[in-house]
Amino acid sequence: MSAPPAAAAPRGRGDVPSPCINVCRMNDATGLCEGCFRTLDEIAGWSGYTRAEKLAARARAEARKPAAR
Amino acid sequence: MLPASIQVLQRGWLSSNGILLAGREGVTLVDSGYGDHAPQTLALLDHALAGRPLARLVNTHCHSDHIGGNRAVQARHGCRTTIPAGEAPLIDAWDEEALILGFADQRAERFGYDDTLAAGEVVRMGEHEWQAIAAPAHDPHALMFWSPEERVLIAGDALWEDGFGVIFPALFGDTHALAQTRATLDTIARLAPRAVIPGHGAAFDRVVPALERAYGRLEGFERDLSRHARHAVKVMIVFALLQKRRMPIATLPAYCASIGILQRINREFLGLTPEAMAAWLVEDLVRARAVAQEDGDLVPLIAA
Repeated sequence: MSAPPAAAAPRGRGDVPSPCINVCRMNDATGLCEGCFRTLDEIAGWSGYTRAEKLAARARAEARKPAAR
Repeated sequence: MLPASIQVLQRGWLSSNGILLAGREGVTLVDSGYGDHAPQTLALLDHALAGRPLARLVNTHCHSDHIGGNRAVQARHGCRTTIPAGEAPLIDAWDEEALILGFADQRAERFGYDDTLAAGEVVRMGEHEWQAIAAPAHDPHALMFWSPEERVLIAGDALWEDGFGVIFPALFGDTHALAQTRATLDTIARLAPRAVIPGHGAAFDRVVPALERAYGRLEGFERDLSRHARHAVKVMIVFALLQKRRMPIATLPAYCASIGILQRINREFLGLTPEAMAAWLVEDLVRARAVAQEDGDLVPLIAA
């Protein structure tokens, strides 16, 4: 196993990074991951998304986050 | 990049990626993520399987982030479980040091297996035949899986798009480990994959640049092993922080002193007091923007 410092996080040059922050727990009420706010469908489908689909999924997840406390 | 029969369940760092391979004989899962994430792993699997049974679970190697969901997946699916042959004695004995579990403040549910795979054997997973290739030395018994038909390599932690897993044996006195790591990279270079599915991060097809980056890192470690020791300690701490979500900075010295793997590496390479080790870690990891200080706690920054 390994978790390199964020500066060396795995991302391709120009790739859209995954929004995973390693919480990885689905909330039964919302159907969203409590860490990244994606649906199961979005998490499972992520690796097959085009760049545009990844950007859209990130934007949707961001919009689902509760307003800043 | 990948045939339709292969689906990568891309996770993060705490959980490795899971790879689903679908074929006439059923669906195979490679690697099961971290134990704490098992409920999400099972939910992702249910979603991706869409009613198909899971026939087989195969592990690239037996570190916590790759085997953590094994027991839960077995309980849910009753699938056949296959591990690398070299891991069998460790799993039979549940050797928490060799598996880098309790020794490193990591955990996984103990599990049983049905059979093993040795390097050189061929295994059918999904629609393709995969050659099992030895991939030391992050894990001395790790396997990669190579499809000559598709030119796709399931690499585990031997190669990511930017790096590879900590070479633990090198830090524990195995003088062959660095050479083995180089040999594994050489093997990958010779295979010349069209695409690599790493244990962490996205699948990638720019394999030559990834190898160049990996060789560059390895050269630095070959020149100065203590550099790798410092890297390993930082990796362990970041992993711990991802698990715990936050750690009071004041407890970091005692934490460093209490974790076997940290003390072993410290004794061999660093010779720091717990306080000095903690201070170095905070300074270095904050500067690298891997962690942040928040109300007296250390918190991990995004590591996806």
